[in-house]
Amino acid sequence: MFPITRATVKTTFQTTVRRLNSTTSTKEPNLPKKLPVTPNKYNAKSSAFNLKPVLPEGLFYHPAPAAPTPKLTPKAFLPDSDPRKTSKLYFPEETTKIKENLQYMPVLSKAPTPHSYHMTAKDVEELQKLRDQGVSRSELKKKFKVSNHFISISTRPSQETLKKEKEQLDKVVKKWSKGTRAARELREKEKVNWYRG
Amino acid sequence: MSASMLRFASRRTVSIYNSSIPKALNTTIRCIATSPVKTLTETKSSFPDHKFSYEKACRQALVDNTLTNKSDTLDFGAYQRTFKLTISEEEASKIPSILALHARLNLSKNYQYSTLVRSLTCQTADSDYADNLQMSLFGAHLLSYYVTEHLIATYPRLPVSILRNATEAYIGDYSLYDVAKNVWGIEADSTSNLEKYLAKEPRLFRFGRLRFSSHTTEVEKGITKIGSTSELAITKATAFSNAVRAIVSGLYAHDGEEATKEFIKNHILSRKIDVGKMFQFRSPGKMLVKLLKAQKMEAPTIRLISETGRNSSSPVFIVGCFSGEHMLAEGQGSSLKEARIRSLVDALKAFYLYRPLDPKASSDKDFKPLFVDAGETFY
Repeated sequence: MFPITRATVKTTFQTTVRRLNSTTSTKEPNLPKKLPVTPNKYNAKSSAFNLKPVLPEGLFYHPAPAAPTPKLTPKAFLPDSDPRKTSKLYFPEETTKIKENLQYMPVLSKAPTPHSYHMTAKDVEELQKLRDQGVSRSELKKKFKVSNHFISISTRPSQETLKKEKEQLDKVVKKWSKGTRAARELREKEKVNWYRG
Repeated sequence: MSASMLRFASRRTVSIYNSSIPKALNTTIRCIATSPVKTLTETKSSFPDHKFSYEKACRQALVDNTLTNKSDTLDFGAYQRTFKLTISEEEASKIPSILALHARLNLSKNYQYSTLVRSLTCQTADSDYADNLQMSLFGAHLLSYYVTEHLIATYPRLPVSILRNATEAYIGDYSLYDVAKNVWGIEADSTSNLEKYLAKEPRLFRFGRLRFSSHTTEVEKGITKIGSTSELAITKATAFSNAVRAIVSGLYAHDGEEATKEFIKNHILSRKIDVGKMFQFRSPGKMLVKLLKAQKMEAPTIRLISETGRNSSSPVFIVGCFSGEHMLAEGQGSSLKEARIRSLVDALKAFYLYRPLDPKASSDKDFKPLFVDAGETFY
């Protein structure tokens, strides 16, 4: 390794340490040169274009790009006593993301607002009776001045119709292959999760 | 919380439905539109008088001739049960598993070892030793009180059915069984007298394990005999959970109410349950309309926020459920119907899962009564 000369022996331990740790080249030719950084995979030259972001100090609001969770109560559902209701820091997307872009969000469906409540329980009973007798929908609509939807939610089809429909359905189901049936069943099972959220 | 517990909690979903619609009408109304395979997924509504295991534990009937009251029959606190045999404190302090359990639960010096022995002894026909029947009864009430109080304080708007399910997830038989067996390390006494004799185990050591008459007995390996002749037979889960309840009541007797509350907070309420996963709605649209009306808010509208691949095989729709200008929830799905239903369900959940900023239970020191919500005004 190093030739032991008078000069090296004379140097104290401290100076040796200092010399070994200094980056400047030493006079002695046998000592290895101290590297400025520990060798690693990162190449500063070839990765010069890859700029690292310089972030200012402090806290950041950077929510995950995920669907909002119902655990975060919307401001509309907060009670008046809750300080979050008036806070600008709570759920800022409500103004920045939603309210400003409301005009670009087309309405798909609205809760229906019935205009008249003229049907009584007796009227519905009569409607059911007529429907069982086989009176056509258009006649029923004209007589009671109700919509198609109202007839279907307030009355049920006659037993004959039910039987007929069931027979028809059973015929269709019989034709299903094993795969079709499995796919249909899976679709129904998946639908259950819609209502659980 | 273990995986099995999680499965248990998620399985216990509750259906909330509009009770104002007559049942017969509700079932037959849309029978034509339903799919023929629909019957597979239809869930029957739970019985209205269904009792959860934590409720059953609070209503255990005490059928016992040993119950006596010497002074006044109307003095309910004076009723006592007499036992022929008891394990003394000196004897109990010689049982290694009792000492280990005492140390593991970090119980105070006031808590006697003999109380732990009694907590692990269930009522059996052939034993004259003091059992944990009344202790578990009192412990069940303590647990039920503090857990319900915690849930009401953290989720003040939970519907009653969800509240009961959440309580069951905390202190039901299966949860407490998990606490007793997997967290506290209580063991059941399953070896026979012959095996104990051959193992040269001291007679006293059996009192360090949970002793109960089981519904099932393992005749030999792979064969389990179901059914017991004893009226006092209980399931394994009930026996373990009753031991937990008894230990809690013992803490109340030795260390007082505050210590019991802290103990329940550390051992029971520290377990995580997902209340949001317990919901299932039957007609979320109708419910939300009624809810918003009761809250004096605008009726819900569904708006399309974004979509992709409408004509492809895998489209994605993102819709929002709005009340006026306020967005209540977002829903996504591969069809507009799915997205709409999901958004309605999430809007309802967003209302019910409201949590106050700093929830305080009524037994807390700095509790101030406050009016949070009018409750379920439309059921």
